[in-house]
Amino acid sequence: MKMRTVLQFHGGPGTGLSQAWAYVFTGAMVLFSLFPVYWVLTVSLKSRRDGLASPPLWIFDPTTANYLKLWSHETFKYTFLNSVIITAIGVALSLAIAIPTAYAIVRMKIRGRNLVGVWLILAYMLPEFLFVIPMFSLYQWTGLYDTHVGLALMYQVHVLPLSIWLLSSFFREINPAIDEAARIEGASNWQILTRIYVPCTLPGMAATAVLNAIWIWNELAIALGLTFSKAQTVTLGVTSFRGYASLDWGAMTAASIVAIVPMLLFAVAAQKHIVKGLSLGAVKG
Amino acid sequence: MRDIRFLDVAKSYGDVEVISGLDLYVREGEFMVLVGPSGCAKSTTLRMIAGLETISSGDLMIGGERANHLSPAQRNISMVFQSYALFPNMTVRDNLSFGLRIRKTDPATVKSEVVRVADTLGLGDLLGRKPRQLSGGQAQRVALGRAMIRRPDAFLFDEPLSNLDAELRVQMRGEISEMQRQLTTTTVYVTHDQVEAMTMGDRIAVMNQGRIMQIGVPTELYEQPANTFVAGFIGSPRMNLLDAKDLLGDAAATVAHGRGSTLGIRPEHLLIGLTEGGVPIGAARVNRIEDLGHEALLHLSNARGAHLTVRTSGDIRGTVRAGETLSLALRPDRLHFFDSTTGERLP
Ligand SMILES: Nc1ncnc2c1ncn2[C@@H]1O[C@H](COP(=O)(O)OP(=O)(O)O)[C@@H](O)[C@H]1O
Ligand SMILES: [Mg+2]
Repeated sequence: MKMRTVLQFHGGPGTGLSQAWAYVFTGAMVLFSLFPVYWVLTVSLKSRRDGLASPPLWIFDPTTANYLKLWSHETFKYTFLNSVIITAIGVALSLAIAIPTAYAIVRMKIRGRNLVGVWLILAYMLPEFLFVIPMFSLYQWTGLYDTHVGLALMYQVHVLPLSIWLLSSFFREINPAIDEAARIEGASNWQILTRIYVPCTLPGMAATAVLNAIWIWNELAIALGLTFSKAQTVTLGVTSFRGYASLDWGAMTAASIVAIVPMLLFAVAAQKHIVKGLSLGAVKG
Repeated sequence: MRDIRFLDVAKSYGDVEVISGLDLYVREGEFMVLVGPSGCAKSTTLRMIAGLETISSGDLMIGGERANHLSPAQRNISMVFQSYALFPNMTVRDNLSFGLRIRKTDPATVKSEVVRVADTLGLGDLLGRKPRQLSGGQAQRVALGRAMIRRPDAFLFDEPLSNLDAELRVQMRGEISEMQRQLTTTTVYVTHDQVEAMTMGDRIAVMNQGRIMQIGVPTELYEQPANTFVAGFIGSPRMNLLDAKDLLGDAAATVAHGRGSTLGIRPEHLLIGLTEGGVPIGAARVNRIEDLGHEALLHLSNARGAHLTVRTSGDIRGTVRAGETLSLALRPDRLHFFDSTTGERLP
């Protein structure tokens, strides 16, 4: 009898206590990370008067006024569109470069695997703004300053190492004999890559694209340093509601929510792929 | 159809030489089996023919032309891998036609060739499937189909049956032999299984530690092994190999080469009791009996402590027990003599 109690306390798969704790813990973490989003959402739905109330109101009359205001706000719409373009170019560029690079690293006996690791750590460790300072004058000189392409190009410094690292761990899962079989059938490296490797790792491609898109979409520091007006991104657009002497909280929070939505939709749509992709090999790698 | 010739070929990985002084001639249309224990460089040899491994020194000739620096595609050769290496994202149809499509064959020909190969191999119903929806045997057939559809100058096989269960292996053994005989395409087939080698090969090259120990037709390897390695490797259960003195005792002196040589006698050439044509070699005690139904293997030790295996018909069941002592004889015309230091066959 005693034995039984002890066993139950430790909890095998599916048994009570430890699983309950796991739920409580996970639930708390989810609440903790979602609370700011909830807060921003409620402010964006409040009228100007409710929004400034202190202490904050928990119950209020929701209004869409702030969202309607965005619709006629030219700067916000413009920066939103800029972000769409820059993210598309940035993601396309990152995959176009990372796919062949990862293949070369994994299957072409090129020493450089370790370098990608170092590059990855550096890119994550160093603050983005560090890259901006030396690039500022170069960009002005080459005409890349305040352009969509210029920004998308600069973002590669950060997204490429992760992309190459992820894709090479997906590619490494593929049996090398498949390459050899294709080579004997007459395929070139490029044909092997486009006809076999890429189709075989589509979930991984999707996961990489989504991660890059989210990072590029949310980036602020580089955009601040390398754009002025033409190529300003949505993260800068959101701050445009901060006037010289006043702050339009309602519009700004509404803008934040709208700015989150595309990435949210993107992530939800690709969620299956992301989980599948990330558990495909990257974790093992 | 072209012939393949290795001329004094060596292969090293870094400082480690895994093949040296390889001379091997595969005739046009021949089914050549490379057999040997794991790690003896069979695959490396095959992959050098395919162009998947570089050749460190020496020449590889395909159809009389030096092929050392040709890419795999330029060699017009097909290969079947142990893992099948089917393209996972493609249907059976696309797997079969991959090589033709890469080589820009016109679509009508591709279509008819797929039908032809699918008919030959009974793949008609599977054309729309992906590789993960195939059984081992089916995947194996697709791999064969992919190899034959281009009508290559040579087929290369690297242990293609190792992943199949015993029954299927026997069946596919027959099918591959049959296919090769019909197409008469030059074939090099690698296996570690001597039964596969004996049943499939026109000729067999036995390899050990990166060297060829003997090349010959199956009966030649069985009847006249060139050295103790081949003698022990070909034939199952393996040949009894022992000192002349241990096998024959004092009678050793009366046999040619008897003194100081290693004698070989296959388990099927040792006889129990005084049979006609047998030369008595004394008594031996039965340690263990392996009854396989149609035959039985007796493991014995003789008066000089030497271990012997005897193969008899299954009819012996019930008449012999472990612990008993039997008198043994052998067929003198079936004795093999080897130099006991070099292991080479003595004439
Ligand atoms: N890429 C490689 N690098 C270093 N050594 C290798 C490589 N491939 C094979 N070898 C070595 O070469 C020898 C022969 O290998 P292999 O041809 O695969 O043998 P087999 O096919 O007969 O089992 C082995 O000792 C193996 O360890
Ligand atoms: Mg091998």
